[in-house]
Amino acid sequence: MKRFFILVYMPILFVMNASSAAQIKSEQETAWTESQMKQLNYLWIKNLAPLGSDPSNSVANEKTAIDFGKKIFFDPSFSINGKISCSSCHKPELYFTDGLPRSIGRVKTRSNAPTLLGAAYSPWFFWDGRADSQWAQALGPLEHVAEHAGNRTQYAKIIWNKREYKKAYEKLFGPMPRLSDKKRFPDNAGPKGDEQVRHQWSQMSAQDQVQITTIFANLGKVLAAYQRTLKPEAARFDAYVEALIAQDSKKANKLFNAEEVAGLKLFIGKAMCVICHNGPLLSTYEFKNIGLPVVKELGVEQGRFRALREVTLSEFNCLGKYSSAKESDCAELRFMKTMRDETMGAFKIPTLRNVAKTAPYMHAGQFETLSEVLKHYQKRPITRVGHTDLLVTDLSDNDLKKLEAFLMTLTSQN
Amino acid sequence: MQASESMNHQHDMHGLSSVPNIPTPIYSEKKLFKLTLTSKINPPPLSKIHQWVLHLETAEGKPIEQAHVQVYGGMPMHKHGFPTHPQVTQSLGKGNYLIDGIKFSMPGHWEIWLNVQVGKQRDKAIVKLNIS
Repeated sequence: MKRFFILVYMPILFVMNASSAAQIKSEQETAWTESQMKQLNYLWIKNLAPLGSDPSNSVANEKTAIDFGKKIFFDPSFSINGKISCSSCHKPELYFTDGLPRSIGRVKTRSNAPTLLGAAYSPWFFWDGRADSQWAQALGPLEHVAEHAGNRTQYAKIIWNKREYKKAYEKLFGPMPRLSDKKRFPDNAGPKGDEQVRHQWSQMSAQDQVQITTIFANLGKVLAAYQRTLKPEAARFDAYVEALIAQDSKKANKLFNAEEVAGLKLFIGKAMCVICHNGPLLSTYEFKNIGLPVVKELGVEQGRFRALREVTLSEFNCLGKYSSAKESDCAELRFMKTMRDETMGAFKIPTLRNVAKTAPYMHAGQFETLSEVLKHYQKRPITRVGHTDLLVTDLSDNDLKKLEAFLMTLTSQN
Repeated sequence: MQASESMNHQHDMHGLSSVPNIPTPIYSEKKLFKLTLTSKINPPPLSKIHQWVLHLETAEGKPIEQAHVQVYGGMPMHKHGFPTHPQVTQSLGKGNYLIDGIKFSMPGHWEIWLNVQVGKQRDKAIVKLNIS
């Protein structure tokens, strides 16, 4: 009888030991060190600071400007054919992207449309940072021949002719000039666009050109005021961090499975993703060369290196006459990194917030899926121009799966 | 915050362990100059360009007025430089120099490298910081 009991209980004891060992192992896998917790806390969306003022844009936080900017953002009349609005490529339902490798305005453009959620936090705009404010960025597509393809007097006159717009404009910026005077202000004139548009512009007085360009710049400023309100909401990742901080392991374990935990550990550890994808928006907004495949139609791109000249010379930069900033407010421009070695072939580090919902990836949509992106980091290919900023990592295929599982947790409701 | 030359402390890969910043002047590599670096914002902010003041003296403690100072730096463990190009923008007198354009884009171990030239004398100093 005694022997029976031993025979019966021995396997039970063994099972219990295995179970507690597994539990300990599981706890070790999901446990976080103090140092790791500091890093997670820094990535938590709750630590996203309120967006500060934009000294170059005096209406950045004005409600009238936000409302006015929102209307313009969705208004296709601000284009050559009345069919292209900002929202054509930055669709709210797609996290303000368009799902295309490269956006299509009047024609196919050179760039993938990045999400606008949280974009206002970056000191630089466009993938190569050729604009140093969100309002200066907004002006680019409006008169680019491949995008909205309109012109400055056309846009000024849309505002002048629409009572609601004119009222909002004059409330923010004071009286508009008499744009009904077609001799002074042709219907279609601007320094960009086709030959006729440029010719009409060249016939205008310098003073009138400045008046029109001021209206054009202000158009960018109200668009920026609206876009500054677009921020990502908390994702499952943030709920997980919140649970960890509250030391609610039961809740944390419900929020993240083992693969996602492992992916996050890789993200802040061996894979070194946080070197570039850091802070609550998961980007340091610097420029890096990661040896992306060359898109045949675009050729080898110099990226940030080429943009340095453009942003320095732009009439719409922080130091320019259409900016309301003081010189001391323009530190990003004054102290921008210009070394060829660190800028050649580099593009802006994108946010990873909502990354699972904002395919395709990279500045020209080089990759269709997240797994393709991760494979690129694993392979670390040779660059065609400049040097790669990708560090040597030793990522297995299994690591990539875990990282992808983690990236899927960064999706918010909008 | 003032900066320390010493960093003989253990740290993890991402530099988030505690490294004390000892408020002591440091000597340049060849011991030609004595430097004290102080952030104008204390503690130094993250992701925001701000200014520091460099106080420069001879090894014997005499303030140096006519120095040419170049500023570089970054995160050596991550193999990247500053996101900006910091510069000395003003000599403030009494051996003090205003450094503008410093930006720490993430928490961790940063270094500020100073190349100092006074007449024909040249020396360099590396200031190590833990930014959190």
